Amino acid sequence: MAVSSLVPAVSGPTLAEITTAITTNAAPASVTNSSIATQVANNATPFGGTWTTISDAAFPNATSVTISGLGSYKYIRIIFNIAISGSAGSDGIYLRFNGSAGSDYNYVWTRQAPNQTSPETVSSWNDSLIQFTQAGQFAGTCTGSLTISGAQSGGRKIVDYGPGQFRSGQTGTTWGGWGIWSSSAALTSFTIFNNAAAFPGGKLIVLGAN
Amino acid sequence: MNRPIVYIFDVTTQEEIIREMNDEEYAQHLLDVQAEALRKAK
Repeated sequence: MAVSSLVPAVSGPTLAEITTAITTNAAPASVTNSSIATQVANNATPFGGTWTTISDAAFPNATSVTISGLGSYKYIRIIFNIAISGSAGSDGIYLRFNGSAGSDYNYVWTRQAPNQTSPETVSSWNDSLIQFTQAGQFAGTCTGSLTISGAQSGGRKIVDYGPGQFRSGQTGTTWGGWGIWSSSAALTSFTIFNNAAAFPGGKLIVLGAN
Repeated sequence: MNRPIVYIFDVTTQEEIIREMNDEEYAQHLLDVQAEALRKAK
């Protein structure tokens, strides 16, 4: 009995459509869900460009730091070394896009401290921000990076962050996670902030690519 | 009481703004502080 006769017929993209989609970065014709098709078209372009330095400067001494005028990049990469003040309540380091505090951010992140027997995971859906790490009440530095894809108009903003590390009262704590901003607007700015005290300083590098 | 400091840098115009939070930003800040307390309580 031929093997093919044992395989039930399955609806969906044909092999030819999938091949075309891979080579042309377009959604298969049989993908009728408009949101999926749009997402594939907007986010499927392979990363074949080079990173352009948008900004390379000291991390500002402020509680809220916004970099705006980002331009029309599909990918934004943020590399940072943030000094942490250790002020009581300065636990979270947060991220927002385009100044939006709407309930359309989702995130999951994990951290592992040297004194922990297992990592802890934090997640939140429909939040007003992305929490990308938790500094704790220890003075020190937080080093890491964020990569944002889908930064152009029409794409969902997918954020990969970490791995990062603290050099503080819990030296060696590593963290990483991911988040999504469910907005199709072009990314024009991002804001890194905390709710306790001004970041004492550090380094902030912003790169863009298409 | 001094409000938190915000820093805004436009990479296109190279304009740099350093100031205290305005009323809208400060109202959002108070909401964020409250929400952070709730996150810690979970």
